[in-house]
Parts: sequence; structure tokens; C-alpha cells
Amino acid sequence: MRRFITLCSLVVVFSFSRAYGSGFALYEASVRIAGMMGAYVANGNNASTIFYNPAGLAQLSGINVSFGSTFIAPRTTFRGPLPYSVSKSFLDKQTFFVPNFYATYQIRDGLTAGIGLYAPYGLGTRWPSNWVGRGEAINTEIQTLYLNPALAYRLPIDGINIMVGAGVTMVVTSQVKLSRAVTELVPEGTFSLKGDQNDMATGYNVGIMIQPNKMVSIGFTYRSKVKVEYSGIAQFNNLPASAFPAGIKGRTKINMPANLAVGVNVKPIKNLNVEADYVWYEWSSFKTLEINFDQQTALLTDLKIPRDYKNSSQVRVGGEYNNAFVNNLTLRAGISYDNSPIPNYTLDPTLPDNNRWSFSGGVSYKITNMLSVDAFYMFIRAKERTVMDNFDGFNGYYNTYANLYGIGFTINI
Amino acid sequence: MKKYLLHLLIISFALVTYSCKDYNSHPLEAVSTGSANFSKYVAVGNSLTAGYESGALYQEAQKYSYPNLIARQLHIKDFEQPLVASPGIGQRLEISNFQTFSITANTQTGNPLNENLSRPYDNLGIPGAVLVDYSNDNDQGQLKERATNQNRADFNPFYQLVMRTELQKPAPNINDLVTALNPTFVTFWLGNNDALNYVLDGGAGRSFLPPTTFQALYQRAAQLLAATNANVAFMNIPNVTDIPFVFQTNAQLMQEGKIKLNAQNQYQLVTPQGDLNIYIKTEDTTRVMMKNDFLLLTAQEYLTQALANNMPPVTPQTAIPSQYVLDGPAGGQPGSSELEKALTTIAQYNAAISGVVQSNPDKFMLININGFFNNIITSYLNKGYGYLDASQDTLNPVIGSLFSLDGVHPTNKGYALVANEIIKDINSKYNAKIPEIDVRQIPLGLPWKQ
Repeated sequence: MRRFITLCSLVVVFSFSRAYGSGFALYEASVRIAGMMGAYVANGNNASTIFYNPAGLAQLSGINVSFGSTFIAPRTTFRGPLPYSVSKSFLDKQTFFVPNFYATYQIRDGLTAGIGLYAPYGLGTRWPSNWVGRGEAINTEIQTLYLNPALAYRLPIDGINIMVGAGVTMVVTSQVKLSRAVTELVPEGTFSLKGDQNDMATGYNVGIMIQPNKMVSIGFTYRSKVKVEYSGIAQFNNLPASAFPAGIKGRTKINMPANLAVGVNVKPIKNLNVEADYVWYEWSSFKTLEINFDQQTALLTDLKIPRDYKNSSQVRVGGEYNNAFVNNLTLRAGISYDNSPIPNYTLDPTLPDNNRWSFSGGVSYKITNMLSVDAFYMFIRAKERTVMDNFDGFNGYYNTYANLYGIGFTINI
Repeated sequence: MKKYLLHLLIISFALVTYSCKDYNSHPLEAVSTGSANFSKYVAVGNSLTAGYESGALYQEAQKYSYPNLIARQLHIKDFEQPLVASPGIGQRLEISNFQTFSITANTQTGNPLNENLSRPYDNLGIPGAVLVDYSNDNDQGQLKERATNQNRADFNPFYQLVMRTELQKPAPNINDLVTALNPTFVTFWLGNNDALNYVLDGGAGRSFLPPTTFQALYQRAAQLLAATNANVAFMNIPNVTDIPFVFQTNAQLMQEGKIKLNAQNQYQLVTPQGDLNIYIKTEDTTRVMMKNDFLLLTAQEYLTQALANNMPPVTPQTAIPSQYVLDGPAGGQPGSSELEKALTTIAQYNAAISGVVQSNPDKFMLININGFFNNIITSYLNKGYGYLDASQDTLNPVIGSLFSLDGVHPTNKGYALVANEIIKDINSKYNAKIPEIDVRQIPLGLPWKQ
């Protein structure tokens, strides 16, 4: 078993984390929890509580390991550009692999430490290189991988169970990519920039969980903003060297926004728990995407792309039913509604997001007392987005949906 | 509990299925053209109508010809143009170095891409076309010879590209092509070359078409057009001083500090030996260059050579030849300067055009492109910008912004502004609601040397 775990954590380190979210947030940080739509801030019975609410760690005993992978397959079409065309363009079909890994160790009763590796932010969109919006975007990616050591403690108070937890969020690897066609020239060329994180960026997460009785649990968690700075060498394809000299270095920074979540979990009957969460993201920290170059030329000057995201919220409801129909089988389901943080005028093909409904279902089966296998499926459907006043005049209809599925393992020793 | 879960599953499934419903249908909203009928739109004109840019006609630029842009806004699907593969016909000017802004001519020629179309093109813009080409009664303008005799100095290959089999007739003319298309709406922009050729040669080569002849030919064209079922938008002639070919060189040399204007309104060359008067040749004399004398774009290369050969134009012997200068009034006979002649002639042309439009207000309308370019230049000279797009980015009437590398023809963005001007006037005359073009979405389209 030990060897198996080592192998899996290697996979985690060498894989990319990139995907699709409300804004570019990802809440699918665990296969188990995604099955109940991430409604988990007041639950915390699994090692992945490091992501959802570090306070939950304090109730975990022994050694717990949980890891898995989520596959995200977003699909988007664009119809436009308005007002003269409604021709349909399709986002390239890509499937993103988002890994996660958590391990906890109980130091003593009521004091547990843990470490998590997950990708809370990421996005990837790739349009055909000859599509009608190539001057706006061809390829756009943000990848992050967070390492999150955390510690939680149960306060020694009789009659009420209060747990507090905190952790350090370290962005161990992160990358941004963007490419677009330079349509101002005949013939056209392509500009692309791949930026790697300069120095490891850090933040923190904290949480509290209050259980006044055995039926009800209340949770709250906060994750701080992390500012990540990137740099890389710009690549030019079929562009004049006198305007796009080789070796130009580009720099940018992105605020991974702060977020908080609050929720209530109820166990109305044996084996069943249901939870409702409210999740909030401080997306207003993403005002402008600035790309600065170390040389300016006649055609290459610093880019200031307006973003002006608004703070956004999500409502998540989910539940899990243990020993359902047969022993050792757990079923999960959930539903959520997300508000898109992106205003109409900065909505563009880099991230064709909108308010969305999501539906999920999940299953775990306990193979042995120590090992469970987990799986989930989720369907996300964004409302059709009609953009008529884009900041660059690129208008049309966007339709987006995504299929997500994942498989993972949970080990309790 | 099992039942409850089952219900939950069914409800979830129903929700998923519901949310999977097919895309909302969004047919293109019909464009309201008011009392105008655009079921068959035909454009008549010269290089400006063809979508000529940077000294050549090629498909990347033709895509942004103002007639094609207007057709796009009107959702006309079969608007056909005589497309030519890059680098086109002409000698396309291309930027070879963006740091020094060096420009070279591409001597290669592209092939026609749409020559087998079995009907006349909807864009009948012919680079080099003159007013007489529209009617060409009895081949009075020798269009047939200019189109087919390659030995003539004024041979023009674009007639063959656009008119094709029409040239087999004894008196080929554009009107035949227009009537064959049975248009419901025509934009008509001829006459520029009848004045411009004089200016491009610095007054030292081709001459103006006399304004009385211009008027007669314009009336004849209007008479032929009135006989069709079409409404016609006539576009008048911009002032020659409103193109960078004429006004940009002085402005640029001043900006670069290479020349300056003294208290007597004389231009002076800045040299290590001090500021020296610049001499120019005019039609009848050699004199000092004054404020209203314009060095043409072609003078830039001449000056570079002259300075390299240590022959600066600071003596009467080394004066800048007449073909590189559009000379303005300098105290001689009033109205005798090239500039005054050009402006007066164009004013007379435009008066003739206005007269024709007023003669048939039901079918004819005027698009005042002269006033439009004037406004842009005036704004540029007074406020520092020519045009502000919806993002408040500035577009200026200079090469590399609204004008292409030849200094005469607009860029894609420049043509989009022309299209918008036409759309605005049509909307107001015919109570139509044709959407204007968002200029931000129109690429400049500057050619560069690979």
C-alpha cells in the first residue's frame, strides 16, 4: 500500500492542473466531495477538508489519505460576430486533468495536522487558430497547484464541539499561457506568451467548525488572496522581427482571489447528512490583466486588458447517504448555482463564462475497512450569454456546458 | 428513504435533461433599410471603391472595401468582388523594417481568384477608372485602348480584371455592367482620378479634366443611372490636400526637426551650417519653398538621395523638381499655383455633382465625403486626433492609421469609416437602421515584407 501511494503522488506532481470554473475558480478539489457538489464546509469527515475547511481536520483520527483526479471537458460555442453574422464557432475539445492529494495525521486527540495538494484556480480555452475571433484569443490557460499544510485543534469546551484550523497556501507551480493572432498585419502572424511563476507565492486559509449537538454542524472558512507573478519569453510566429524581436520578455500578475464559505450540515437520520453552503469569491480583485514587455516596439506595447470582475457567489446543496441499499456503499448528490463574476463588456473568448447550474452524483464503495474507491460525475450548464457591448467590439452568443468526472481513493488507517 | 433517493435521482435527471436543451435559435435580425431597397446593391468607382491599399489590389484588403463592408452590414450573402491573391496587382508597398519604417515594393503579382463568375461583379470599382468610363459613348474616352493595348503609356490592367468580356465590345463601358445586374441601389464614386492624377504628378504630368467636361460626363452618367430601377448615392471628391500623399511629408519633416518654418513663412532645411532656405521648382519658376507648398510623399525618397549625394536643395541649382512638389500660392498670379488650381477644380467638380443630385432628389442622394475627410483632417490638426473609436482610441489621417502605405488609399479602418459615413447618410435619408461598423473590430491590414 505504501508503494501505491508514492506512485500516485508522483503522478500528482508531474501533471498539470488546469480547467474551468466560475470565473477561473475550481471547487472540485476532491472526488468524494465533488459528488455532493462541494457542500462540505460544515462536514469535514475526509482528509480533503484541508481545502474545504481546515477546521474539520480536528475530528480526523489516525492517518487519512485521499487522492484522485478530476477530468473536466468543457464545450463552448460562439455565434457571431454580431451584428452581421451568427456563424457558429466551436471551442477545441480538450479534457483537463485536475489532480488532488490529501494526507492527515492525528498528533493527539483533538489535534490533527495535514497536507493537501490541489488546484483551486485554473482555466483552459483553445479556439481554432483560424477562427473569426483569433484576434481576441486562440489559446488561454491558467494553471495552479497549491500545497497546503494545515493544523486544526478542537477547543476543550464541554457540551459543544468547536474546532479551529489554519494552513499556509503555497502556490508551488503556476503557469499562464495566452496566444492570439496579430490581425493588424498582412500576412497575419501569431503572438504567444507562456509565463511561469517567478517566486513561490503564499497565502493562508483558516476555518472554524461548530457542532452544538450530534445533528447539526456549522462551518466557516476563509482563503486569502494570493498574488502570483509570472514571466516568460514571448514567441512570435510569422511576424516581422523588426517589430517583434526575438527574446522579448513579458511579465504579468494575477490575483488568485480570496474566498469564503459558510454552511450548515444536518444529520436528520442515521446514515444521511445534507448540507447547504454559501461560497463567495472576491473576484473584484481582478481588475486589469496587464502584460508588460521589457522592450516596446512600433507594434508591441504593454497590454492592459480590462477585466473588472465582480464579486460572485455560489449556493451549493448536497448530501450523502451511507450504507445505501447495501452495506459499504455511499451515494452522493448535489446541485449548485454559480454567479459569473465577469461583466458583459469584458466577457470574451478567453473565458466564456456565465451563471450556471451544476448537478452532481457520486459514489464510494468501501473495499476494505481501510480502503474506499470514490467516483463522481457532474454536469455544468451555463446559461446562454449574449454579449452586445464587449470592450473590443467582439459580440455574439456564447453557450457553454461541461462534463466532469473523477475517480479517487480514500484510505483510513 | 430509498424512495426518496429515487425521487431525487429522477428530479436531478429531469433537470439535467432540461438544461441540455438545444441552443436558442438566433437568426440574424433583419436589417431595416427603411424606404431604400438593397436587394441588389452595386458599387461603381475607382481604386477607392475596389478596396485598393498600399499600392495594390489584393484580397486581404478587398475584404474591407467599403462596398463589401456595407454589404456585410446589410447581410448580403452574394456580394461578389474581383478578388486577387496576395500580393495582388500593382506593386504592393510593404514595410520591410518597422524600426526605420522602411518600405519596399513587392514586384510579384497575384492571380485573380474569382474570374469565372458568370455575371458582372457587384463591386465594379476599377483602380484608375475615370469618369468617362461610366458612359464611354462611342469609346470617347478610349477605354477600350487603355484596357487592351499594353503598349500604351496609360494601359491599365484593372479594366480587364473587372470588366472582362465587356471589353470585347467596340465601346465598352461600366454602365452596361451595372444595368446587366439590374440594381436596386448604387453607390457611385468616380471623378477622383480626373483631378488626382494632376496632383500625383506634382502638376508636372497629367492634367485636370476640364470642369465643364466633367459636368457633362457626370450628367450623362446620372442620366444612364436614372434609367435603371436603382436609387443612387453619389459620393463627391475629397480635397487633394486631405491625403497624406500631399500633407504628411511636410508635417513629418517638421516633427522630426529636419525642416522648420521661419518668421517669413519660409521652409528651411536644418543643417550643421545653420538653417537654409529650401528651393523648389514650380511650373514657371524656381523659388524658395513657402508654407503652402507641399512636398509630396514621393519627395521623401528624392530628398534622401539628394542629401546622400551632398546635393541639398538649398540653392536654385539643386531645387526640388516640380513633380515632387504641389506648390501653393506664393504671391504670384492669384489662382495660378498648383494647389489653388487643384482646389478650385475639385470645388467645381463637387458643384457639378451637387447639381446632378439636386436634379433628381427622389432617386439621388449626395454623400459628402469631401466634408468627411475635411473634418477628420481639421480635427487632427486642431485637436490632435482624427477620429475616436468606441474605446476612445485615436485614428489619424496619416500613413499607418487611416491611410495605407501609398498615402492615397485608406487602410481597412479608413475604409470602414467611409462605409460608416455612407451608412449614416443612407439611414437618415431613407429612414433606415443599418448598423454602423465597429471600427475596433476592423484590423488595419498593413502589409509587411516577409
